[in-house]
Amino acid sequence: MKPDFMTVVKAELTPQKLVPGIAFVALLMGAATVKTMVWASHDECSIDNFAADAFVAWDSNGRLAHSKCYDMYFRNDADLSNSQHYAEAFEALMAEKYPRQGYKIGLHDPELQEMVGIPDSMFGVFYGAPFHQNGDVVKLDGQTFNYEPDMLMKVADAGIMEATNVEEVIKHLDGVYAFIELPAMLGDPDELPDSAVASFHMQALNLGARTGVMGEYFPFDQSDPDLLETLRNMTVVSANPDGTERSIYHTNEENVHWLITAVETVEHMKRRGESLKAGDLISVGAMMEAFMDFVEPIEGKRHVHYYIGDEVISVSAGFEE
Amino acid sequence: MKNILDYTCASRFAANHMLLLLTLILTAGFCFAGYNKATQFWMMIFAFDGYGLPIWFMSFLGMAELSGAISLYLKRWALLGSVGLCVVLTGASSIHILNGDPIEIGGMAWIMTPMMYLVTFYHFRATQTEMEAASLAA
Repeated sequence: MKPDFMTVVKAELTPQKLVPGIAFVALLMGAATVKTMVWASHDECSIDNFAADAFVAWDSNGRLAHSKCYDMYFRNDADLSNSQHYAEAFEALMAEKYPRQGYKIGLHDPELQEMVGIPDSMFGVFYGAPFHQNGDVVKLDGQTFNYEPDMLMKVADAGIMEATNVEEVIKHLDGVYAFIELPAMLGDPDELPDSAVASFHMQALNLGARTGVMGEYFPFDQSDPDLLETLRNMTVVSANPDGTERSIYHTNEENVHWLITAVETVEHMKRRGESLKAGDLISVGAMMEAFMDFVEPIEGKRHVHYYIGDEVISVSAGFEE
Repeated sequence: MKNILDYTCASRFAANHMLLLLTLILTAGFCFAGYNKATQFWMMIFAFDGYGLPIWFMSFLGMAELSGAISLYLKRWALLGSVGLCVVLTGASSIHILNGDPIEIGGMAWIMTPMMYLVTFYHFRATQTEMEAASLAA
């Protein structure tokens, strides 16, 4: 006769099994704690020097000194407004030397924000030389860029500051450029694997806003009643120089319309006591599934095509050392 | 060789091919998920930050998943190990549901959980059979 349930349980929970079992679990917990202490260890840094260190890294095409130390600070602080405060200090140094070129939003989807534990979208400002033109070969100059198929919205008028939703904001947008954004990965890979920084740190680093390549333009026909829906249903195809697929992205798979990035930019500008004006450019954010796709020098060019209703716009870029 | 095999679940796998198949699939899943947690891969850190769970717990879970996967092949530890992995997977599935994660994020845990319960049932039944055989032999 087969033993009953309790007999098997008793046989499994004998001291000969329980003692080594519990000891093993305790050993794993100890090992995990030690491993986490090693992971969290870092050199000394002063947060007062963050903006200066970030600017030196950004301006010299280098890497952020004390990357791990700053990363742990912003991670443990977990205060988006404090991260924005440090981003603005970093920005002030860039603004002394370079003109403003545009704006960008990070993590515009509230569901994604919740997933990584931030309470709002992140905001960055582009400073430096004007964006590259369609077909340019971008010199990497020792920098690590992330390759992000993106779009640049062009503001039509300052009335956009009154918009509170996508239906209102689209009326104040002139159109969109095909765009490849190239955010600079400022985190030191010797201290942070893959240069990945905590989201609060990413905000403090101005989302790595550096440059990008502007492509063809799609003007918004405001008389088209289906414009909003057409823009929701875009397909973004990124291809390698040999014609193979790099990524395919369907914008209607997002939880929110990507034009929400314009609404969020308005909110961030209001928070900063600033206003958008006609001609301002706003980067939507990466239109690809992968988080990371580091740029390497290539033969030929990569191409990104945006299927918008019955229209197609494109942008191409090459990369060299 | 026979002595070594006696310590493994080879006889259980030989008697129950579904148990072998499920164990192989679950091992692949635990190795993938456990390795990323145990080595503190940055995307896992992002996720655990989002759930508000500490990093040491993530590392512990990763190590527990890897060692739990090994236990599924050792006769002495298979039942206890599979019960432990059921607890881990039930917790993971619940957290994914409570956080409203999409299937791309939570799907792996949701698929592995019922598989793990079935493996636990198979090991329980095999243990019953082995205890019965041992009592008859005695």
